[in-house]
Amino acid sequence: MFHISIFNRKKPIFKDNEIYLICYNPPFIYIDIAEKILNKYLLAEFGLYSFIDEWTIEDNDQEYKVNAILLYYGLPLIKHKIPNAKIPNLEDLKNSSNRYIYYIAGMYWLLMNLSNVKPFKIKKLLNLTKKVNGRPIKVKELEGQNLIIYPNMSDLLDFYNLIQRARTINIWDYYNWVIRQM
Amino acid sequence: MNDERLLVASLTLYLGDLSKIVNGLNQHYSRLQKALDSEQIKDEATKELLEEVMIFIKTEIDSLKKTYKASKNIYKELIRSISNKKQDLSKNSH
Repeated sequence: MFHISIFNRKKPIFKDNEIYLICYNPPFIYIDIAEKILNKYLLAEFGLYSFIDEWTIEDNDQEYKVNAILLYYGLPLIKHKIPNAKIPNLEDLKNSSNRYIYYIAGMYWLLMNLSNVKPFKIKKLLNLTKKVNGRPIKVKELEGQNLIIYPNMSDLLDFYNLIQRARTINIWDYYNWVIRQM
Repeated sequence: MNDERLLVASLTLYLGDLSKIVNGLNQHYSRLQKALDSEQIKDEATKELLEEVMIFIKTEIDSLKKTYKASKNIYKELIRSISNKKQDLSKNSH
């Protein structure tokens, strides 16, 4: 019927001028507009804009090319290795002899680079490691790669908290605390 | 409580926490070292990424240890000074 065909006409789902964020937490893989998940200030503060790449995704049996930041259990990955730079990337992850250790090293690398970011913001990033909402998709570049891992978030948070405490610990805070107790 | 005694009390807590942070970071460092030394990692990219993180942690630990050492020296000096003052006081009272 006519009205049905109008309603069935698909609007473009993914726009060329939009930056998306893919939460690749296999078996759960979701996409949404990046600024809907994290606001632009957080995206900038986490340095995620430098991880934008073109990814091929499959949504309802349709393939699309999107400009997106891909977070592999929270770890941003660029598609290809950059010579002489130690930036987490899909190429190295695929070729790693131990993908779990590559992921852990990548997350430590990320957290040490974000050691000036406030802890409550970091929690927002780490929460994305278990994000299971948005639009379910497949990412063609990562299909059939057996990339399921079971990251231990408490270890990562502990590492970040230690770095934070190492950076901020100050004898005068203790001195003032002792005075307040009197 | 005078200033010296306040500082001693603060330093006791401060040194305890510094030590906890160093121990915590050491645990993370050892875990990464174990992974690096294991036979499981054969590719350079994973090794390099691990090494970079370990250098960072080691630098943090070394810096904290220096702070710990310097603070511990101040703590010892303060204890010595307080104890000397006590002795002086008791001598004077006799």
